[in-house]
Amino acid sequence: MFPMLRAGFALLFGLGMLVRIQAQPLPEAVPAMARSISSLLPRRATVSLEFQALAPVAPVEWSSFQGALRDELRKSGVDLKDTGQSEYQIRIVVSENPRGLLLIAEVVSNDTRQVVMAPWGRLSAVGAKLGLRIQMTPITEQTEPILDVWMSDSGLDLLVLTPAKVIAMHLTDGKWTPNGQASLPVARPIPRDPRGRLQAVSGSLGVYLPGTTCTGQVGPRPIFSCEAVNSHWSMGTFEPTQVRWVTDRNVLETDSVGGSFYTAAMGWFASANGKVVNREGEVQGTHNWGSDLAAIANTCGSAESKIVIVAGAGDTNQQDQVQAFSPPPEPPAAVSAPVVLPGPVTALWPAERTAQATLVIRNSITGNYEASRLSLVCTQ
Amino acid sequence: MRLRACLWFVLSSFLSCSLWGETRPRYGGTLNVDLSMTFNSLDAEATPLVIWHLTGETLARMDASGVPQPLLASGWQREADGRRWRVSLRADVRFHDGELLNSGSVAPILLAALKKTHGDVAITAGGSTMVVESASGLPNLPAELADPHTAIVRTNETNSLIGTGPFRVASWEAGRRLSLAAFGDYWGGRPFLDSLVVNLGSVRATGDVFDIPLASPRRIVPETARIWQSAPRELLAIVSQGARPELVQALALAIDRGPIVNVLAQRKGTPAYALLPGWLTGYEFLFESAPNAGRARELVSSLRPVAVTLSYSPNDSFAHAVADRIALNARDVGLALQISPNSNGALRLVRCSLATADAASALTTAAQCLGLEDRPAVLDNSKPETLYQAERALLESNRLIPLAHLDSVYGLAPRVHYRDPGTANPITLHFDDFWVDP
Repeated sequence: MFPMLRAGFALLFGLGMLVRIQAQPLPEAVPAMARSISSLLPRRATVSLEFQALAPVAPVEWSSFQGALRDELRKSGVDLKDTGQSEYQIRIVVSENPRGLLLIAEVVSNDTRQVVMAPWGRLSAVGAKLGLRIQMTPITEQTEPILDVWMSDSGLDLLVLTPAKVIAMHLTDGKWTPNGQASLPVARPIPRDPRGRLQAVSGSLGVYLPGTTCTGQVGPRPIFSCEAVNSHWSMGTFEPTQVRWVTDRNVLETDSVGGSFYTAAMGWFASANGKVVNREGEVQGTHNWGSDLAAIANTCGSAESKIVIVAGAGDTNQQDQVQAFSPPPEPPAAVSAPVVLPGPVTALWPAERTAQATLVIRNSITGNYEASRLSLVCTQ
Repeated sequence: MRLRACLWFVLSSFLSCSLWGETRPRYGGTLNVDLSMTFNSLDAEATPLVIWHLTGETLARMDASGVPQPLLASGWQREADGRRWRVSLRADVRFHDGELLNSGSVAPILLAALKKTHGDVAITAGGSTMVVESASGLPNLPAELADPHTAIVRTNETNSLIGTGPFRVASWEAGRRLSLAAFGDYWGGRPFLDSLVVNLGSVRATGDVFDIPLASPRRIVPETARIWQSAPRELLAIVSQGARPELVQALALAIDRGPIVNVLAQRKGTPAYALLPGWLTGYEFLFESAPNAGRARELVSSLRPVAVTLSYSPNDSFAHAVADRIALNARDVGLALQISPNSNGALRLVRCSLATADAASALTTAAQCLGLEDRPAVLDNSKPETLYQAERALLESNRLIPLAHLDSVYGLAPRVHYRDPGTANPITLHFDDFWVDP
């Protein structure tokens, strides 16, 4: 059993390592490194090389770097020998600092020791997407928080809501490219857990932020006028609840239920006290649910069937998860495996299409906000 | 088949048993912080950064990569080869007393701070823009703007600190207790907490957050507490105050850093061979060396016997323990080392805070803290060789012996939550992003 456990954990560790992939392949650093090393050596110097990795680099990439460096040094007239048969001993180390990888060459000959360094890129992440029954379709990512997105019926225009503006994007050659933007003159500072909702209602757009409501026209270059009020808006496609933000807070309130809450779906409220409640009280079996819920149509079930997508709970903000559960009135039961996300969920809203939800996460490696659409894939 | 089944069991157990996710922050409540240290002033020099940055802010901040980013400034433009900078200010920022931040309020504060290092600096203010000029050049102005010494803070008639940070000072009993209240108009969003109370010189571990110092008095950490540990962020080093370079070299070869880190610091740090820790530079390993008692004895035997004193801060019991340990290492190679709790020894044990991800700025701070007159001149984070050469020059002068890079450690009660910025090498906690269960 123990070798199996080791194998399992090795696999998990391997998955973790996937997120530490270099933006630029290491072998691309070879020409500059070889030039720097050669500049320290006389012509036809005999050299032995030793390599050491102090930073996590994929073995294949590191091996490829070593081969390429040997070739490049030979091309520049360096005579490579085994250790003990050379005038110069060179130790090549890949290390790292907050700016990324650092390639270091330590050139030793008799009593002299010279060092050259080459910073190499920045660590970047490739988020692992573990699509099981919930399918995740990425839309866009950016450094500024994404509070919500709205997509036109044609699927060619996209509006991205951020704390200070709405960015219009157009789909060109399969890529979303910015097409314009409109500033939002917010009445109050946006809470530090920024949240907001972007909704289209009969041809006009509503932007709902804590302490501010803005209205504008649907179109590629939106213009908004804002006022310092918390207007009601409709939460959820199924059994919608009229809700409004609480100024300077990350919570909502509604006239029909007491207390503040983060999200609501089909009569379930993720309340600010950490519990999921309905009008009767706490919903059993939801103790490990997070603060975000969204109901979508169950395309794998009957015409009226729905499911509720739920974000994870806890303080582990390096990762998060979403999972589908059966809707009320029955007690919730998991109907999908959890989809592990490479960062915390920062927004989960029903989308314009009833079978989709909008998901935004903050990637814990890159720090970028990544907006996606969630939908169901039938596996049976 | 059995292998697959076992593997699946391991993976599925891991997936289903873990609570992966993040519950949204909740507003309200008071965070009680117990600190073993005391401070008697709220200025940036006296107050630990973990507390100071709750009230005061700078025009720039250092990001996790050590690159200056705008904070109270919205941007800057370098002109005239770095002799002139145009700095734009963020709109809608208010001081704790309600005054709007603009160039008229910022310029006099910034000028007074910059004058300390650039005598000829001048600032022209206009609206939301300032022009900062110095004939001798300001090549690293953005980094300087991130230094707490250039913070945009002032004091009112009652000498209370007025800043722009997420908390305002509610009450202050010097050396004993600091109470902070959430600043509702904070430009970055009101903190989740309503208030924060910092008890100074506290030996208890009953607060929501408490530091775990390396030195006594040791705290009894509750079993339920979670431990937060920073990346190595403090340099412990011996600096020479006139001791012979050969003696310093002999002592450096005699010292075994292992017990200092593993036993005395209880593994809350790493052995230091350079001024800056490896996580910050990536090259510290180039300076690594093992103790060499034989070579140390040779050097000692060539020295005329002299009485050497190693001094340490009288209030620092950790430094005392380290000095004792070093005296043992010295004795093993025939070097008589007296230890003394004052600052008059030919050798001095020093602790320097390096709480920044900006390697260039950390090196300058370390050199300054160690009292090295020949401070590194032109340092450029994008050219690590400049840092390496500067460190190498300082270390080869045989005037200092790096001993350890120490972590900062805190205990957190179960009701405390916070959003981890997710940096690989955290330097400090950010209480303004904390929230608590009722």
